[in-house]
Amino acid sequence: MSPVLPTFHESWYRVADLKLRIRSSVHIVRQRYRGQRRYVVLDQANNAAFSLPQPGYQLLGLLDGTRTLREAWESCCKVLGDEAPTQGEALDLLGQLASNNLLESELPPDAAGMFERYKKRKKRELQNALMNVLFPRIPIFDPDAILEKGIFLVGWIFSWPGLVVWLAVILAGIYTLLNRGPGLGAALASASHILRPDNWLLLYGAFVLDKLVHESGHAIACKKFGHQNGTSGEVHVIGLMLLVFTPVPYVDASSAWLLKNRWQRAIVGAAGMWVEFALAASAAMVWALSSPASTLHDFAYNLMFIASVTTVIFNANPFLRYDGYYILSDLLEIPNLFGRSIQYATYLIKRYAFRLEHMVNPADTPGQKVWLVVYLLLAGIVRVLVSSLIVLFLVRELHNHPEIMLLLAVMAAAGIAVWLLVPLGRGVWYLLDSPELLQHRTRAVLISLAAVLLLAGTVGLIPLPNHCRVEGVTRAKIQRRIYVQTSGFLESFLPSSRLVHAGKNGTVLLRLVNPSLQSKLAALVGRWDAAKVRWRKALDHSPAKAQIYHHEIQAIAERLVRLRHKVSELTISAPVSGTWIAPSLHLHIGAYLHRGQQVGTVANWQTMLVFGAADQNRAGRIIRAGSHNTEIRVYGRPGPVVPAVIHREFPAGGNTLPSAALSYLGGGPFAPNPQRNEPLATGTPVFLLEVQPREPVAWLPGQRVQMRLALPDESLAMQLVDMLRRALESHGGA
Amino acid sequence: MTTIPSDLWRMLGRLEAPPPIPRGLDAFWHKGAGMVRRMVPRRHIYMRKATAVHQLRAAVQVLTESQLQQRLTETAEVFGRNRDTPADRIHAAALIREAALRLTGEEPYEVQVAGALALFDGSLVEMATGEGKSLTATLPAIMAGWRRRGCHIITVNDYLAQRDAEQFAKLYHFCGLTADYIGEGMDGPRRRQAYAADVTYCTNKEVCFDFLRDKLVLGPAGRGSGAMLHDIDFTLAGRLVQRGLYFAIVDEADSILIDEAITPLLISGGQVNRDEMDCFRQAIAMAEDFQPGLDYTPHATRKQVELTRSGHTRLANQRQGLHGLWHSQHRSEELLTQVLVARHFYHPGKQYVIQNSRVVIVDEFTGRLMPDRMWHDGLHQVIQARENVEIQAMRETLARISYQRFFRLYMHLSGMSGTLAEVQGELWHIYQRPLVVLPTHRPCIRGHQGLRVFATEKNKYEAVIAIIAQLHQQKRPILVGTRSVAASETLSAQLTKLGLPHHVLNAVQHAREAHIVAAAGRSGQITVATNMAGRGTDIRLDAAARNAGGLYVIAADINDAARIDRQLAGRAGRQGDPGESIHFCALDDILLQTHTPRIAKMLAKVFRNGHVQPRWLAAWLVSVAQHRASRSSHRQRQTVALTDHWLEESLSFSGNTG
Repeated sequence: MSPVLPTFHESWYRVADLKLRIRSSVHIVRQRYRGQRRYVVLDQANNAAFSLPQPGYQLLGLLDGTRTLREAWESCCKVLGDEAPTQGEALDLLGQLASNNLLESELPPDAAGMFERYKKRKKRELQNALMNVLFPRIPIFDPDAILEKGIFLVGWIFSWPGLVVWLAVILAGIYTLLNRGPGLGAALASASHILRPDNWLLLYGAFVLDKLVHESGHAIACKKFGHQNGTSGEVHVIGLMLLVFTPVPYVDASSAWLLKNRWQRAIVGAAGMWVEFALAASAAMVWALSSPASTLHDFAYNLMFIASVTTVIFNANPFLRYDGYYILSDLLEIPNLFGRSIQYATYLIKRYAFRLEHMVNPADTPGQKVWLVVYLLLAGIVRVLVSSLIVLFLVRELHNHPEIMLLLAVMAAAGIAVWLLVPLGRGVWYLLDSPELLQHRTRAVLISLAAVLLLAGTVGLIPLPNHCRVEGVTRAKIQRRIYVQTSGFLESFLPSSRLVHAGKNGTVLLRLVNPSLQSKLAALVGRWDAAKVRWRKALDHSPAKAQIYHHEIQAIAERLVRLRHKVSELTISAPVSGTWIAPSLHLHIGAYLHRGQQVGTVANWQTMLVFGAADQNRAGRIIRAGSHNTEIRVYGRPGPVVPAVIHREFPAGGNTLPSAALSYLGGGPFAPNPQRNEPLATGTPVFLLEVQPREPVAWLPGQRVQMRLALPDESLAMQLVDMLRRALESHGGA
Repeated sequence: MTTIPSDLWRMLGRLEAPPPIPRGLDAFWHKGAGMVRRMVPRRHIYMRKATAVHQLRAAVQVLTESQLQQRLTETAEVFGRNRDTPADRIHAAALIREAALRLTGEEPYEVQVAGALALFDGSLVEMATGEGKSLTATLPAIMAGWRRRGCHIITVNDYLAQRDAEQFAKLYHFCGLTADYIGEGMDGPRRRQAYAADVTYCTNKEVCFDFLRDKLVLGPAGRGSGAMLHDIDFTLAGRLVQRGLYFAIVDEADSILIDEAITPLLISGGQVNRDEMDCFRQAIAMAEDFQPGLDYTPHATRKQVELTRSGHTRLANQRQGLHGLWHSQHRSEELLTQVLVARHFYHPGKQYVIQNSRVVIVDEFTGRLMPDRMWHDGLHQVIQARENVEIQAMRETLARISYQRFFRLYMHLSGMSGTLAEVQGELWHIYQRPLVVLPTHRPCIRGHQGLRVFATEKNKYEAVIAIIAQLHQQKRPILVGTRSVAASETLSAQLTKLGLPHHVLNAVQHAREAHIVAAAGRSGQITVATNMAGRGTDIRLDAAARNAGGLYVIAADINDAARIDRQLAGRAGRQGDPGESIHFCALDDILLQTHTPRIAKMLAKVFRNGHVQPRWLAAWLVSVAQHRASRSSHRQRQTVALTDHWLEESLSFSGNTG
């Protein structure tokens, strides 16, 4: 609680006659923030910093251990008039100083209170660590003495000559990367290997080295500018931060707060990235010039990657709490930017939605308002995005390790509790119990309820268009494979890609000869003639025998028909109209083709179909939707989207893909069945769809396409649940 | 070599901060623990103990007086050494009970003995009105007195303190103890003597102010263990009046521990500043021009006003050329706001009365006068200026303590009242005392005639007068309770007009009023009293009154808390006597106007000149208003506790744990 108004405070008596003094270990530095003069109080003994406005400083300045607080306050009032801090404000300020153990008085120090405060601070630190469970920090040692001695060796890095050297290194790095060694293309190409398990050790090594350099950059810059300013820029904590279980070093450079020049503060913030980029450039040179098979080469590659890419994504990103954030808040001169923007948002809600009067606007200037609002919106979006990306990435990479997944789940639950449930609970508690809302509770509760209902309604009830994407391959609607029906030697064939037509006089595709069949036929014809002669003779002599010969003739005639048919099959004509495809038939000329061997295909490319394969999680919904609105895009073709309808569904799932292009091996989404050594066999059941375009298309068969199938409209919440379920099933099940 | 009396030493030790009030999650846990504790059948446990005491009666009845005294001395010895076992306590209770019977002629009932044992164990005890709480308090007081570290019995007014101290002096003496009381206007040595007694009857206000004054005397030595040895002046023992806070039995615990805990106690001093006094007068003149709604908005529930933009401009124009406080914009706003607050929310006869040309605050809850209190932040001065009495200096606080904190400083705190169950959650949270609800000695046969809510105050008074006239004809004794002094005077004027003889009490002269109240049970008697006037005095019925149907209590106003309504109703039908009660209220009453203004307005239109029907609607309306009122005062107490916490947290460096 912080009583501010009115001028007098009923607890003033408790401190009025004390002769107070600021502890000598405290540094006070003047700074300007957005045109206002503020004073930063920094205690080096326990690394605490907070800032005061001018009048508070004036009061503190009068406290020299000889005046009583009453005298100081009264003379402050005389000088400053309305600007003077009220008794309540003064008490607040002193309380803050005292709770950081920054006050001295003639009284014996309140030792019990100090222990109490120490315990409380430790507890708060622990709480913070728990709140920050994803990124806990463990302080390890105090590097100040080493820095103090070594600063003359490295301080030049952040100076004009340093800038020249830096630029030279960066340019040299870029030059070698482009012109020497494997080149930029190779560098980009091997980026996908960086997360392979056999690279983890090198990656981690590079990461630690990089962060060590990064943090030393901060420490050196802090020290250097501290020396320039005479504040000595102390750096007292180097420690390990567990970045998602990976220990990485960090440095506490909070004494940079004391720097008066905001650009200097910004440079201290950027120092880490500054040296990191130089490191990346050096690593690029090593990588380009070292022998490609060596470990040094690989390590340099990792280092180069980490020092450039992660730096840009994380450290330079002002929406995460890394260097970029602090640089931005220094440059905008809005300390605690994120906290302030949240304060400002709550202020807006309280002031305009709940209509609370007497709210103190946390934004000092109109310009700040804009910054705060813009920052909050962007930061919200970026944070949600980055954290969901991290989660998805981790799930994808680590789903084979159930113990790590369990830990992740616990951390996710903690994250949800800390970032979602706790603020939510606080909000509810505030609505129900806060005395601030005394007059406005009904309104506030109604508005909050309305907002929640609106949100829940949009997310949970209003059905929204829903789609899913399915991969497929194109194929002609009418397509026949041509097989050899009677084995024979290939005599002649129609060249591939010719148009053929079906029918009685259908185009002959190929001719085979089978001499043995031919001679068999000749032999049989001979036997038939002989039998006929025998039969005629017998008709005259013995009718009984004639009867037998007649049967023989009939049998031979039947065999003859069959054989003739077989022989006729040696000539293969087109069964359907279309294009004859037999690209490799010329290799078989004169060769003996066995019955059942495929020789080619006749396909009609006038009408094309797409064969899609959906996994079992989606098939049901697709079939239920009976979708008439499907859009098809062809991979590798920026052409227009082709509207289409589902032509046929095969509700019975199978384990065979329509094309190898849909399997992992062909770049498709389906994992092959490891137990069966066939390219088309899948591990999980697939459901086939036949989709017909609505307009004529000029596709080639066998092209990979993506179909966007309309599903029944569903609320956002249901879609999300479905997505999660699918993600879990596909990752967990595989 | 100097010696320090161990009492002083102990007192200095006890000045440390009291055990903290649990906050945050701790509070949650603590609340849960309190709920579990409620399941302990305390009532049963103490009633069984009381039965055990009862069974010892035969054994102690046969003792001669000297034997009894002998046994008491022996027991006192055990208690003095702090070596008493539960069995000793039961034995002691039996002995004291016998002594009480022989000396006062009153024999404590089993219920009273149960209450006494519970009090000694540090419980809060709910006992119905008229069950003899004064007598109940003597048992634990004697046992605590035997420890020789002092025992304070805290009552609501001086008269009761003196009466009880004198009434039971013999009993205490017989048990080897001294008893004394603190009265208003006693000087230092007399007070010291009273606190030196083994049992001291005092009011909450006196004991708390004495504590604060002692703290001022102690100066730096009052910092507890943080004090330097050389700060401790060995003559202090002669200048302090109290000897530490050891054992307290709080009578009317809800009113003292809850209702009065809204405002902390302050001791202040300072000099008159002529300039400032002119400023107050100027402010009052200036405020004449300010229009509500236009220049400022009054907020009834918060008792605050807020200047609008036009109000700010008007103030800026008017303060030009003025001196003193008007120089500062902040302070002129504060000052003017206080004048407007006084105009809207502080009315003579309700919030304060003028006595001997002094503004005296009236406790809105109890109707009692509080001459030692002042409103802060200049409000008091503004009202003094408005009433044209001498303006006292805007005084600077010298010492401050809240009741919440003060009572937690006692090593043993216990209390009793007729109505505690509603506030047991808060009592547990702040004072960490469990509650024991005891049954009545005889079954209660009081009838309740319900609640009537009238459209206007005028209708209400007409109805009240009508019912008084009707009952008076039946010769029934009538007690009319009003909320404010002004209301009791209005009612009295109307009764006089009708020629109905009656007495009016305004909680000003406790002694005289106690006699009037004691006589209120006579047949045909009409007594008009503010709520708490004559509290603590039994209204005994005479035979004629009992035949006429017993005391009829009329509550002419509804109070902020249903608890207080219940207390008032409880004055009838004590100890199985016949009696009845009825509550009246009007839609334009301050309670309904403050907490349910919209509903009240609507109903006023519907039931013009009549009373609200059906009854459940009236009851619902009042319960909503009372619920809101108690929430609001609960919040105020929370604020006090929060301030305490803040002071402790951030001002601990001052070493002054007030």
